[in-house]
Amino acid sequence: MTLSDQLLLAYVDGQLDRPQAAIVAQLLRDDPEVAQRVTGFQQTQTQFLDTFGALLREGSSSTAHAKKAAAKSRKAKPKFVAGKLLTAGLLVATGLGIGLMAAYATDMLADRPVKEIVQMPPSNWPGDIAEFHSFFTKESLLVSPDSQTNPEMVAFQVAQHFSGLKMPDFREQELDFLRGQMLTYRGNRIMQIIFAGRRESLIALYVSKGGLDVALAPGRFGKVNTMSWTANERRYVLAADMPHQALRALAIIAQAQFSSS
Amino acid sequence: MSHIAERNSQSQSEVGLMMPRLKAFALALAGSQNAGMVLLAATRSYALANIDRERGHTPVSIWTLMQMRQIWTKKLSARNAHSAQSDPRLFQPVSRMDDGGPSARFAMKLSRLEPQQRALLHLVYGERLSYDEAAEIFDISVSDVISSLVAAHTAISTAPASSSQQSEPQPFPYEKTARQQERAA
Repeated sequence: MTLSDQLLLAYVDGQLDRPQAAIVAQLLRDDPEVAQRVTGFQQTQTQFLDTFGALLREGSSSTAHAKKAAAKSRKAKPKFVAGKLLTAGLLVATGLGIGLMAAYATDMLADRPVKEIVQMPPSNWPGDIAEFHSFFTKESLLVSPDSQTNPEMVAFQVAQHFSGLKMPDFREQELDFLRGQMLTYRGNRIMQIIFAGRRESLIALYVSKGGLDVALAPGRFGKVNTMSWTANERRYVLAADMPHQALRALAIIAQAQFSSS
Repeated sequence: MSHIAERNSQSQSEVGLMMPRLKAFALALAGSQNAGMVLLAATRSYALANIDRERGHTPVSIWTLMQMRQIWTKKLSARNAHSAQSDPRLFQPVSRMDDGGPSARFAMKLSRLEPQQRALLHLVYGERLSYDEAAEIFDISVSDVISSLVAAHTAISTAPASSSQQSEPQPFPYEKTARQQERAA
């Protein structure tokens, strides 16, 4: 079967419905040539997402370049550093939901001229907080600390809630398990497993029950990059402040471990 | 009466909140700062005057983007047809300026695309709209949207001036492991 570029791009962009996406995903596994074409689209898609996403957030203009040059000549910007620290700290606390907040925080703390700030829409701070709040339940907070930091207990929770799923092991990639906790997303359980590396920033894997298989797809929320996929009726999102290329490599390693469990 | 006044005020407030997004769309379409600002101002005036009468049940975001595209097509695109190439600086995010060149080369490629093609990319990859919504804004079929996007992907990946490989970061330590496992699978 010959698949058109139009169909493959729609698949990469997540615009197919689930049955169609499942068929394309199956064909991808069977045909290396098709897989290569999809990889090509994914590479340019990542560049488009990165560039147009950043432009939209920044409300980019040619004058912004002059402003950036002017900002460089001023003294160091501790507020910007604080924004980065806040971004990292928030990722520890909550992951994806907070990734959105971190983007706001970084934007708000960056050294921007007053006119730029006036043009931005008002912060959706209460809305973001409400979303953040909705991730937590008593189940998330009233458990013993050990059940969140002991890898065996977290592995037990993962296996119990996700039909025997094995917790990924990234120690060969120099990423150590840090903690795991059960959250909720729109009423569904979602497991957050956080890893910390010596060089990389924190990496969080989110697992929830999902639908038909969907291939790896990159995303970006503020400074947080994501790589998501669906397999064996489970949805996965890897989120971190690191390049998509690295996240994709980790996702492939995780997929291999899941398929052998 | 007061109810209608409140609704009008809310619609106009929503147009105000759309301004940063409209500005980004205007720059993607116009390709220059000046033409983009003219388009933004024209769209803002039209939207504030007509939103309550014309919008119906269309979301404010889609409706305002649609109006901007129509104004561009009817009044401004011809005026800019013979103007110079789009300004690549508009398509390089400020936050990527210190990356050593890849974002500037990518911006150069984007500046060489057709305005409508670039605006479609903005809607799908910036605004994260569906193909259906992008088709509605451009008043074209979904099939035409996808064909245009495929053409843009192809143009970007094959364009000279900068190889896309140059923009790739160095391999990560565990990428080799991932590739081995991918091959094994």
